[in-house]
Amino acid sequence: MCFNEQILSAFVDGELSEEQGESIESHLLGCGACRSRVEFYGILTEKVKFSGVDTSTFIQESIWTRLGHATSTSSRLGFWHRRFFLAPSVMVSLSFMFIAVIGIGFFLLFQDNGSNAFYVSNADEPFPSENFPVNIPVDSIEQILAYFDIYDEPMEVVIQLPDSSSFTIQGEPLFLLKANYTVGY
Amino acid sequence: MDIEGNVPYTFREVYDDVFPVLLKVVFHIVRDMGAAEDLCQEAFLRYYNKRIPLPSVSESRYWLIRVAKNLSFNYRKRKGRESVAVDRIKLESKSVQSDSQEDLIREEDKIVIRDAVDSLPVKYRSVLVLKEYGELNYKEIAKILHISENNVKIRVHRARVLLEKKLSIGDFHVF
Ligand SMILES: [Zn+2]
Repeated sequence: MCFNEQILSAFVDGELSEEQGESIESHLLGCGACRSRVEFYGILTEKVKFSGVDTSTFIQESIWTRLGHATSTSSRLGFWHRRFFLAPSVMVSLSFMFIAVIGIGFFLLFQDNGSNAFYVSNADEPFPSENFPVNIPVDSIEQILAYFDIYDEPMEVVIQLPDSSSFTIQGEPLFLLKANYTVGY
Repeated sequence: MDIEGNVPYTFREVYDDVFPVLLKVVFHIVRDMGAAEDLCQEAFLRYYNKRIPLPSVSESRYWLIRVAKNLSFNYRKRKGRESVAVDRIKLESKSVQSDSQEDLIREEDKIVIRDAVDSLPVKYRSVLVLKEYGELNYKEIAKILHISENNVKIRVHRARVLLEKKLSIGDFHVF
């Protein structure tokens, strides 16, 4: 009796038990139909594998660099388990700071008629220009991405932060200082 | 699991172990090497930022492939058929440099097969990409897709039957 095609397909992948494999092998000796099925699955697998892309170690290393980690390949994890853990009070104050920054941004946006806040501009166009689109104020990353989906040309994205020095002094370093590197999960 | 997050492997070990497979799997879903690189990077970043470490390299591998696969299918959904066009453009630019007619035919054959795999419904495409390009076995595929091994067996066979049809009709006769 012939085996069903699913079994033959799994046989080609070496996914059957030794016992099952042996019984199929002996069946194949006397059955042309099953044999040609097995041969076909084998060729198909080979063809698909052959169509696989070659990947280089160059790409692997460049992504590693992009990941921006590991100065030593042999070091134990170390920094890997540094976790940013922020107390609720710090979170709340950071949230307020964030809202304040956004608020300042909007203030500048309205004060300077859009030229000074969050905007994207078409890099190929002389600036300023009468042509559309030169300067598009946006207020979220999603809007920039949506723009990319529609217009596939190069563009410049400018994120304008407040000029005040207190932002850096009280913003980022505070955030880093408050981060608790010792807590693991 | 150690509450302090000590695991018996390094991030680099996981990276070296998983990256080649991950890139292949992602590339064959999105068909665009630039996007594949970005998506792999994103998957590793998510892995790096995981709050709960995984107990072994192989568990990490399953997790990374699952996440990258989902990111890739989401990317494809956003991009539609555009990514396939990129693959073809790359082939064309490559053919200009290629001095051998044979190389060109081989590259074209590859694209025909990739297109056929690409045209399969997602549930069959996933198992085939993981098996043939990711070189994973049924057990590993089952873990990644959260389905049974028997289900993997059924899908692999079904994918082959569908591929047979795709590759023997139309303009191309691969067999
Ligand atoms: Zn038979």
